[in-house]
Amino acid sequence: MTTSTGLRRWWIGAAALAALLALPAFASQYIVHIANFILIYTLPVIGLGFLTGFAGRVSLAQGALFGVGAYTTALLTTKFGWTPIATFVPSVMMTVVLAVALGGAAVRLAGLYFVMATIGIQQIVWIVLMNWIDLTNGPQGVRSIPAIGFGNYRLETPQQFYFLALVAAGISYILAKRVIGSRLGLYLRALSDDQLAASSVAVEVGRAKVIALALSAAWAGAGGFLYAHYVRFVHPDMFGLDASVLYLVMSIFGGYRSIVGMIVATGLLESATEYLRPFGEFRMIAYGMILLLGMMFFPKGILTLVRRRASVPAAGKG
Amino acid sequence: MALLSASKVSLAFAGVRALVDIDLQIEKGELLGIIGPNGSGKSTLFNVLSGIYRVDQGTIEFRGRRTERLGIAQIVRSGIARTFQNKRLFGTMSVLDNVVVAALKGAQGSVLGDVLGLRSSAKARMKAKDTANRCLALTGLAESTYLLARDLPYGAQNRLELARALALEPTLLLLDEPAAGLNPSERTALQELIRRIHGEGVTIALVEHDVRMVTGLCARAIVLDHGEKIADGASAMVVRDPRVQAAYFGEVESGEEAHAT
Amino acid sequence: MFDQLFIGGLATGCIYAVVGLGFTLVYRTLRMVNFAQGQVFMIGAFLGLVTAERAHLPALPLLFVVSAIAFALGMVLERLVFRRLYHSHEVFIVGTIGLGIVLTNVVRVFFPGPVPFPKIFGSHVVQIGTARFQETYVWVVISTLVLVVLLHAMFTYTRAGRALRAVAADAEIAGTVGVNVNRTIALTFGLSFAVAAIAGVLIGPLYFVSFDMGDMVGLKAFSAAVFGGINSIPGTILGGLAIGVLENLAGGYISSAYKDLVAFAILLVMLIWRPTGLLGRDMPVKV
Repeated sequence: MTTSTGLRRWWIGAAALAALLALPAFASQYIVHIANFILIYTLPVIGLGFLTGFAGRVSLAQGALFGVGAYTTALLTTKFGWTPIATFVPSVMMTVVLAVALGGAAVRLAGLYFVMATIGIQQIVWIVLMNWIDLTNGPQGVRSIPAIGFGNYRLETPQQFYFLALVAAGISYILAKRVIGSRLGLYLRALSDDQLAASSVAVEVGRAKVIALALSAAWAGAGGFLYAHYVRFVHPDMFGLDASVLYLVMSIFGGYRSIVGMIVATGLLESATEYLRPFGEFRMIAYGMILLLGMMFFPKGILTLVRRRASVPAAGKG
Repeated sequence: MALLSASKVSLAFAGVRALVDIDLQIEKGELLGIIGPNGSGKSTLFNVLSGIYRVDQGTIEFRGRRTERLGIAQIVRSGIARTFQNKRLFGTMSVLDNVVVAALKGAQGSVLGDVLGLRSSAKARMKAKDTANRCLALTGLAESTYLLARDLPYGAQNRLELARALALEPTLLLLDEPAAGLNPSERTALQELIRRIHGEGVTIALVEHDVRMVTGLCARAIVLDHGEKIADGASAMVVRDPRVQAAYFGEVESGEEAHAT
Repeated sequence: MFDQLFIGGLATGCIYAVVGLGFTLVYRTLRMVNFAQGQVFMIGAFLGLVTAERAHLPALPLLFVVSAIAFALGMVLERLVFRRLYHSHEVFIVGTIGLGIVLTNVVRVFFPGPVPFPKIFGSHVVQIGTARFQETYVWVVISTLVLVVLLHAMFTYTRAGRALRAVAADAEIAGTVGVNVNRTIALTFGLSFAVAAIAGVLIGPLYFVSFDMGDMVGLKAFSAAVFGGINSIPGTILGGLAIGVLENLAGGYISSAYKDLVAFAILLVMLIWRPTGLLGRDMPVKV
């Protein structure tokens, strides 16, 4: 890896960061609104990346877990009057606990069976959210969720929320990179390449998988927390199987192990679905075609095309 | 007391008896050969010793501790490392990372420590990296550390398996047909390498088809046939044993010499 | 009330079983799960609707025509689409989900709302024990039985059937003894499509048909297949019937709100306890 490539990357990164910071100044409210969603969604998508890219496991429950985070904060703030910031930790914890309770025993299953189990988890959570009316208001959803505030300053408009979303996405990215670069990242990659060999070099495979699950849930819960305080209304249909599929696609489209790829894919897909919104059914047909054609022709992710041209040998991070 | 002692170990799969009443001692510091025709149970024996298979009957003791019920990772941590006959490398990881994963065994620090950038964790990572580099240098892979494991040529993959096992700093090293697929000059180099590792005090058990390599390296050898141990003694004697020759009779194996020269 | 719930559950269970068979057939051959299976079921229902209204066919020819069209569709899609998705499990899953979304919304363009299905099985009310229900329910069960018998006969006695079993057991070996593996895989898809489409026609008269009817049924049929053993045909049938009956009973005796939960709770528990299902055999998994 030559210094000129490294330097070029630095410049691209800095330029991107500058553009992001300046966005609300020159873009319309609508664009900022979409940008907020993109930033929020990077959390469950990156969380899913721990499982798919690094542990080699596909999960279709991320939508439900995102919802658990959202509902936890929604209920704590509307029913019990907590301030939003105080609910962050409980929301994340609740999501992690639920994920490990329901899915902990399932992570040891072979790949396809694990997917099946996550479908079960997804549906169970959705059905409970929809039908436990005393707790969640069921199909009416939870309204009037308060905005996040610091002192007297509340983050209510898209522009105001934007900086929180940017900071959150940034922290999520940095934290994820650190986790991937830690020994856990090595263990997960090893066990996803060859589980038996990983055990044979003293990797505690079962424990590593559960930690990956817990991390993916933590990221999902954090994302859900942000989401609830941005749209300020939650309903079970926001956290159904479609949402899980969307996050999975975003996670895969960016290329399995590239966090930057996932972020870019999230941006592209969310923008695409927004752009197509006025087209009704055709929007969904286009979305379906994107999924289908994407998997048919770019099974390793779209960004690997770009990667291959840049052709920097993957330096082993110790 | 023997370093490893297996007693009356038996294992059957779907009616096929893979191991029958195996008694085996491995003494500390020795280089033991394990030979036998195809399907005689050599790899199965290793799988049992390394915890991949559970025995139906019998006991295994390593350094005084019973291991037949332990999990794979636990057994590795207690000091046994192995290589695989069909190379099981971490294909998408670099050569260096393949070995670092192993070198991290028992390292100080934790995931949280890594994430937070704690000094103790970072030092442990550096130490693991050093160990890894040392093992790679020993096996002649120092030039290839940043290549992806799956891009290595066959002979190099063999050596990577070995480097990875060495990084676990084992007391007992189980080598499962490390010479398979190697050309003669590679075989000689491998023999040298095994001698060096042995010289550093590692106890080694070597499963090999190349009987000459076994007689060249190993003072003692045992012979398996259809899951049973049919000979156990000085390797030069064992290969002359008529029962052993009968077991190998009719084996069509290129490069193999069933009768000792 | 028990009889009523039981028989109703048996009928929906038959639907789950038949759609579930589609999952099982593909899984046995390819070790992959086709997530568009529910949508194929929905397409079958609409094919039946359109054919019944245009051609005024009675039940048996209608079933035949629909299954033939679906069979052809399955083979064509295998060639054009599925074949390119074998790369990995996640690619297959996401790809077939995409296909399902396309199918759902294409139908939605033409049929934006629920549509009633002609009563091809007549509309007498039958009484068995204390239960009264439309004769359609009886026909659903009978048709399923006939279908299962036909399938069993096909697998056991015809060459194509034996080829299917051979490829399911070990595609490589089957290839070496002269089985045209690619065509057999195409046939497998054709069969799984035909079977799902038949289920669609069977359920038509029981409820309305709508573009989104495939989603829940697909997921529950999938749970049924896993419950009974996704690599076992009798297991899938048993699983389908069991889930149909159990969820109906739960809906009647415990709470109608959580009726849907039954299928997924069973799915999750089964996977944790015994992933190969009630009747599934352990497939040799590469450790």
